[in-house]
Amino acid sequence: MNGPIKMHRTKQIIHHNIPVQLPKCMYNLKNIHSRSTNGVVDGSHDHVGVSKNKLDIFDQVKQFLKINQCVPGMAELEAKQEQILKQLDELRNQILSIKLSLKISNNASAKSSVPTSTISTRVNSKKTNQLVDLVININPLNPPYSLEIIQKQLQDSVNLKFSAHLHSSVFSLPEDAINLQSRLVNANLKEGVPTVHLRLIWKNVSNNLELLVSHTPIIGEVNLLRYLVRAAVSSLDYDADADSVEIDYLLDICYLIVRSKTKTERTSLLQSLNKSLGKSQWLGGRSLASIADIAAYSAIRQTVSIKELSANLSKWFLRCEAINC
Amino acid sequence: MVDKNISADNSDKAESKKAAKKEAKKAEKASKRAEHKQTTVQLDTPEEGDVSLGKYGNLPLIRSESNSTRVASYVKDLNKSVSGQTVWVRARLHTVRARGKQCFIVLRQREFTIQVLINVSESVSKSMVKFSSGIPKESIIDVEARVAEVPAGVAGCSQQDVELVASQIWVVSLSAPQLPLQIEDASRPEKSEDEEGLNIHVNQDTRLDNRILDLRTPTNQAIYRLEAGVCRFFRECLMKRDFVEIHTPKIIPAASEGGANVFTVSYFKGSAYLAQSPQLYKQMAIAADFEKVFTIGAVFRAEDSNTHRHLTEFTGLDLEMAFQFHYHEVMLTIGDLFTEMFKGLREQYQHEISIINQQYPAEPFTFLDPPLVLEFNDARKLLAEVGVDVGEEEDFSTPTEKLLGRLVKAKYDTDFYILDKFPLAVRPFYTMPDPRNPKASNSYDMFMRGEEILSGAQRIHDPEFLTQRAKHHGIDISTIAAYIDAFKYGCPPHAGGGIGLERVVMLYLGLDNIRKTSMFPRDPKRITP
Repeated sequence: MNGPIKMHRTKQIIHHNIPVQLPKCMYNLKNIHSRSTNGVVDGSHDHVGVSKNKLDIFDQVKQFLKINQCVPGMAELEAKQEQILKQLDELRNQILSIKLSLKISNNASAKSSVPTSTISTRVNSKKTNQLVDLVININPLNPPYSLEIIQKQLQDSVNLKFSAHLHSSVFSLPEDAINLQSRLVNANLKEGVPTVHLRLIWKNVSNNLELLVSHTPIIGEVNLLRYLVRAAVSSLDYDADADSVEIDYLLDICYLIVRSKTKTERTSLLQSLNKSLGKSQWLGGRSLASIADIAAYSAIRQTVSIKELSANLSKWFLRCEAINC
Repeated sequence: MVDKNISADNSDKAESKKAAKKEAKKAEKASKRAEHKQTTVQLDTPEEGDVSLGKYGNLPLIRSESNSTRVASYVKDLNKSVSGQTVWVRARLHTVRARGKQCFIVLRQREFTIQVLINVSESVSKSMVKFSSGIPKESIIDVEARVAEVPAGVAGCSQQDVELVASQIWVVSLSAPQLPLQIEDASRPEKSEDEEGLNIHVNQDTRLDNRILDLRTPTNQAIYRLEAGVCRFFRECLMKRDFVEIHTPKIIPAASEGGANVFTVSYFKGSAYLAQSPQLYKQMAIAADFEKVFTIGAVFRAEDSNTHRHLTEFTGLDLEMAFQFHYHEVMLTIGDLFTEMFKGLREQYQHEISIINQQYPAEPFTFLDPPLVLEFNDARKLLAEVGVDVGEEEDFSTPTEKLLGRLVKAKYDTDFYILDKFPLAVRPFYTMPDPRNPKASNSYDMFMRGEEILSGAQRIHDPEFLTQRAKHHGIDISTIAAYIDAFKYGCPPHAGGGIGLERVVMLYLGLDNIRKTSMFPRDPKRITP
């Protein structure tokens, strides 16, 4: 039949002329190839065909407007459209504020919360929503004093609510840690501000604390600070500042101070802080305290006695203590 | 007559020949036995000219005929500080090994072991050494010896820097020469480090069949001492908080919970049941103004389940407490009780824990102070993050529970945590519903290493509401009339819970079977020994 040797007939496996059942679960697409064959020849719409008309849409609109300028009632229509757009805008803002207030009451135990500004707090609550329950493992010999300052600094945009646990690897807490813990846990929280719950676990970890957001810990107090200032919108966020590189450099020095093992190592690190401070009020030659000051204050308080500091640094240290109070 | 006599004599002779043969065989057997005995236990009186005559042998049965002021030392106290002194020790013979003119004995007292050396010398005869080497293992012996320092240290003994040089040795109580299990086999670590070493283990059933021997292993000594510690801490912590210990009846007229899994006992002309929990009686004590009560006692469950964590009889530690405003007062009291218990174990039972870990290695138990409290919905969120969805009114299955345990451990690094606000639908009818969320209830579970150890709740203390809830659950009111009546004359709001002692010990130590923490376990297949 289809060859010189007649062995046997094979069954036809493909039938071309049966109707195909298209799945209806998704959505229909226009068949772009069949249009031209249907006889409606329109080059500008057919992707396959070569467009004969080189005009782009912008030009087309211009042309259309030129033609229609003299149509009566056009201005009226325009005004109406404008009005509708305005109303839509208003509606959108309303929905946003409702959304925001709902989110906040889910997050915090605040009874009533009135959103003040739209854009900034919206971003804020969206970001903080992700940080529902953070765990921080801390070595009790290195209490992170910066948390106390940052809690006060951020209190207008986000509440840092602390609760503390003692892990079984630690037998008792030193006095400094107990004092810091009670100040952090008993701090007053503002109403109407989103709340982030931080669990402090005093645990036998290394000098640098661990922040657990997902399964991989973020190591180091300075990195916890970076995380917090980025999560909450505040003046401490230094990403957009011109000297952000300088701040990062200072933060890294603070990290090294906490990690340092010998006094000579520490002294050289303190010198670089001193250099950065110069004659100005705050580190990095700034006129306002930055996150670097907070981190450095905490790092120095953990490791060095004030007597070891240079005169310039100890004056700065006292200024730092003043913002703490 | 003579002939007869002869023939009789002959037949007698023939018989006697046979008998003689038999006798000879018997005698041979007896002598063999005697020989065997001699090699194992030397009961005969020693040969003459023995220099150490009267310094060894079998002590007559002690029937308290005379008293003595002799002080016996404990093996654990023998160390360098008493070196050179002569001491008396009564302990078990752990192993014995003879080598020519020397005999090494390892004495064991609980988990402590010490080496005894019996050396042929002026005062110690050869036959004394021979006698010593024939004492069967596990016999109890009295040894008089001088404590001597060993500079090189004795490997394999707990008292490494000293040994005993014996001058007298007496058998106080003889053990049968054949042991159904060897103590060394029973105390071998589950996963030995060297692959080539002996890998003989004793089966769980063999252990339980010969529990007396099995319990002599250092590990079992430590486990049951720790178990006693758990019980003691439970009692002490609650006493400190003004709880009253009560004793509830174990024979009860009606099934206290459910009814399907209850043991029936004949009670004179009728029948009675064994208590499944002291629940009702604890609550009655609260209604009777005892305010805070606890009880420690046997609890019976006729569940035909042969799992690693079910027993038909176990020790229940139950408590019930009246509170002022919120059931969290009770929940946190229980949480603190656990923390205190764990701290006590960590500080006072370090030695026991390390011994147990040698045989059954486990990660040390971690906990937080104050304990971690999560709400049921938080737990659901944690599970949802890893793709396990649990319904709002659904209970956790055992694998989910364990997974949750791992997640909590990864995030908070704690083996103990409290889960609050369980769904009302999965709790018994007497559980107080949550006033804010109709789907939730004022109930909590506590977990250790991902397994539930305590289940508790605020109970409904209002008879009308209780009746309503019982009806909602389709319970015949007449069967629980006694329970409801307990609240008829006013009852303070109260909550409580109960734990199983064996399960808590098992999970604290990270053991794999509850039979390891029950001295004489009862399960559907075993009521002996």
